[in-house]
Amino acid sequence: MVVGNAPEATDLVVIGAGPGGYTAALHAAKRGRDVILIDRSGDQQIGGVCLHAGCIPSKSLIEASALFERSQNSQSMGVSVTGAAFDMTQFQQYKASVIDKLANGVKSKLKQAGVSIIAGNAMFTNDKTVVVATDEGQARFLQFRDCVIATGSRPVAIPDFEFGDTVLDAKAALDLAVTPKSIAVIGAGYIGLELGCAFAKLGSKVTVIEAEANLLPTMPSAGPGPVLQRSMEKLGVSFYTRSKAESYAKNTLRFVDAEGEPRSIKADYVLSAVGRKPNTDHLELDSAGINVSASGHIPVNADCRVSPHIAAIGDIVDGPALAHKASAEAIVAVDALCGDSTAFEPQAIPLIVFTDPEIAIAGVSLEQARHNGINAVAQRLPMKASGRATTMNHTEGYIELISDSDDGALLGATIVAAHASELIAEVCVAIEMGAGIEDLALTIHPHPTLSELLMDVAASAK
Amino acid sequence: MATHNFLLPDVGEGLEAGTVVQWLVAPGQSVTVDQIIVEIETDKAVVEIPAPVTGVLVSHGGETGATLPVGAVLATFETDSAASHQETTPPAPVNTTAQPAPVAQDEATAATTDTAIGKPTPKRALASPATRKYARNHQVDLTLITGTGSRGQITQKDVEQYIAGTPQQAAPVTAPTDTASQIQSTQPAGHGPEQATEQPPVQAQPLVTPAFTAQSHEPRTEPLSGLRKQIAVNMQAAWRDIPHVFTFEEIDASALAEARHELNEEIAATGNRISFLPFFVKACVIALQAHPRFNASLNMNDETVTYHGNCNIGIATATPEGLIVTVVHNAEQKSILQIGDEIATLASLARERRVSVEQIRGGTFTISNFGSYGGTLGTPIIRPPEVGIAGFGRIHDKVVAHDGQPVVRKILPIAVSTDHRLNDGEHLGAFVSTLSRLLSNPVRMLGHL
Repeated sequence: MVVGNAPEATDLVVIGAGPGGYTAALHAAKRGRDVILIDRSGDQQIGGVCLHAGCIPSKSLIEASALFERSQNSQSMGVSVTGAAFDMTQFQQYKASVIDKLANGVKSKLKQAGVSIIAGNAMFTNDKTVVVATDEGQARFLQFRDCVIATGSRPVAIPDFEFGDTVLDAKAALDLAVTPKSIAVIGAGYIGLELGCAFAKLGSKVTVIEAEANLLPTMPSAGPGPVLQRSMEKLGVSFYTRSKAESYAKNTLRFVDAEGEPRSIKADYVLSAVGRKPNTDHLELDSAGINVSASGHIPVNADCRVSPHIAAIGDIVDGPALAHKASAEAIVAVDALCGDSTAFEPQAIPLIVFTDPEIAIAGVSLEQARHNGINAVAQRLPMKASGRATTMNHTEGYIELISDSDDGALLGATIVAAHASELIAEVCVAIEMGAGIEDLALTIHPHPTLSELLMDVAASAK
Repeated sequence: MATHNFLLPDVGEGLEAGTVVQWLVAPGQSVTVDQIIVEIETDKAVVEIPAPVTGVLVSHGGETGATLPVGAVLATFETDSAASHQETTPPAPVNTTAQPAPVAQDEATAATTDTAIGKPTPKRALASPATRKYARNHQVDLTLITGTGSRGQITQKDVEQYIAGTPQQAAPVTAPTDTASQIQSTQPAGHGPEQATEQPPVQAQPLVTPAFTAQSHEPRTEPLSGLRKQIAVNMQAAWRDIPHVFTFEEIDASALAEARHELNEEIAATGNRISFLPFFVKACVIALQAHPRFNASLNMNDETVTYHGNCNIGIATATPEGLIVTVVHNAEQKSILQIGDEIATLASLARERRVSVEQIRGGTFTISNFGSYGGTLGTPIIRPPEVGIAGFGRIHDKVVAHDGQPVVRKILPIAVSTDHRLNDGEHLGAFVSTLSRLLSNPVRMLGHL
């Protein structure tokens, strides 16, 4: 600590300007707090990984790739497009404009709310003070009344696959100037499969290497994996499960397959997407009396606080590393720091995979419900039973609802379908409200829509 | 590691202390959050106290038998958690609704992601997110509330009622099947059971026990504690402060017995039976509404009399540790069958010492059913600040004069006492007369139902 530095008295400090951090800042300002938002990139990265390197850019690519692919594969519907082309340079401009629009929106909200933004790396010096090493080389000591830590996560690198020009993390893959001819994806989690699916639609030769036996091994439901694998194989994607990537050099990826045989494939690029790691290692959390778990996560109370005046939210605490979970925690954390009795207690955090078909899961799985001692049952119908899906020529997948057979309470859902990401919201509302499966069955759904099938699945319950 | 001092929470209605009955976790043992660590006896109940944190219990705040004031250190834990929670609000005890529960501190938030299925999570209380937030804001544990929704969903109104301390209304009866399910056991087993002719009079226990030997016993002295001590203090104050005036009456209960028989025939299909006690409660309620000065409280400090709007009828319930008076709130709004159902529930909770503070407070008049253990007559003692209590004896066959001829009738002896500071013998006579008229011909009650 620099001797003689007088700390500035501040009210509420938020570290990290991702979806968790900026939501916390806005909510705290709305509650009348004086808020300082610290981010290592200042106002250049407002929105964090989600807006600049994750959710938003990847959805832009996924949308463009879907349009391109459908334009070429809709002859059966009478649509033939000649000369369809994908221009990556033009796409990158489009993507940048999307990000700018959204980032400026958040920036102006923060400005209107009176939130001050400081650029620099923050470190705790004790449980009441952070020091910010600013871009100008200054050290600003901020003595806070309350603090929200929302520093997010970063991709994990696997040994022998250090990130570089050809070994890419998700952000680098999304920033490619040309569509890769071939790309190997290590890790069949949601990031690898979303980008693998998009690149396959753009014409890349995609190979997925996964150590576990199933796709999406960390998802609570094992059902969607095989459906997705069949669909992606139709797009030309090759899968090697129970396989271990060994090395990558000279455009050759070597790996050991499920039978233990060494194999190799040619790939211009490798996308390494085996997981993310919480950004808690440079915060000097020890100084604030905060210990992290072995995985680097901060243990918090039900109201997201780690101590009376410090809260932690988002990817740095347990639970799925998802923007919408971080935003929801932000509200709880700020309310707790403002003295409210509150808790983060969602019944249904939606998990989405933007592949083709999309996958959306919320609530508890059948297995988990039964493990909890609930007499749970599952109802399922294939998307082929949906008139709307048939008109869309998009009948892959299914909808499954989990309910309590004793009282009919809706407990969970797995949706594998086009637009599953939109369909799941209705299920989340129903679960949160404590609705029964019969409530879904008796609610009039518009015809003909995909959502109608949710009603039909509910009606198929005994 | 962090040290966590866990303070004895207020587990009852403003109780000041609790006595350690039994430690379930020894120093040095690991505990997980919400694991029951100790049983604490208060004046009204034995409550199980859960661990507020996951960690190692380092020390007990008192040995078995020790009495600790509320707020004293009950136990000290070492936790792995970084944060030192020296002053965390103690969680509410389980098995009692004594206090709105403070927010549990260490709930898991991560169940959704883990592929490996962790420890089972208990079934949720069905409530919307807004209602859950409202409850959290008011430090109310939703698991303690019975929701009024079709599947037990808890509404914000349910929470508001819980906070206000008013008993939640029973869901309206909508179908015959619901009626059946509401009746269930209308007999508070062991208390207010079958009376009169359906039970051999008086002796429930054999007089001679096989192990009887003519040995003397060593004298012993033991401390007056727990519920017994509370009863002693209350009864002494009641007897000292209240000038009791009694009246006794014998009521011809033949018609009442017939009415009860009819009603039991009516509900026979449900497998339930109703005792006389709910009829007594209903008759008292009607009489109280006709004579408000018996449904009142006297406050000599303020020199005021409060006439209550609701009839909250206390039912004296014998338990192994002593008498507990549970309260049927708003009895004027309840049917005889509903009252029977509620009495049964309260009686079994009382015997397990699981009654909540809500269920024992707010009484405006009390019934002592000494007939249920064979008593013919008694002199019931008023529970201040109430001003009346009615005792019901055992219904028995008796030869009485009827139209100048001796006939055998079913006779119900009753004893009613009132606080002479508020009510004179004349008032008492009028009240008892109403009660007698209703019970001797229960058809008269119909006009008030």
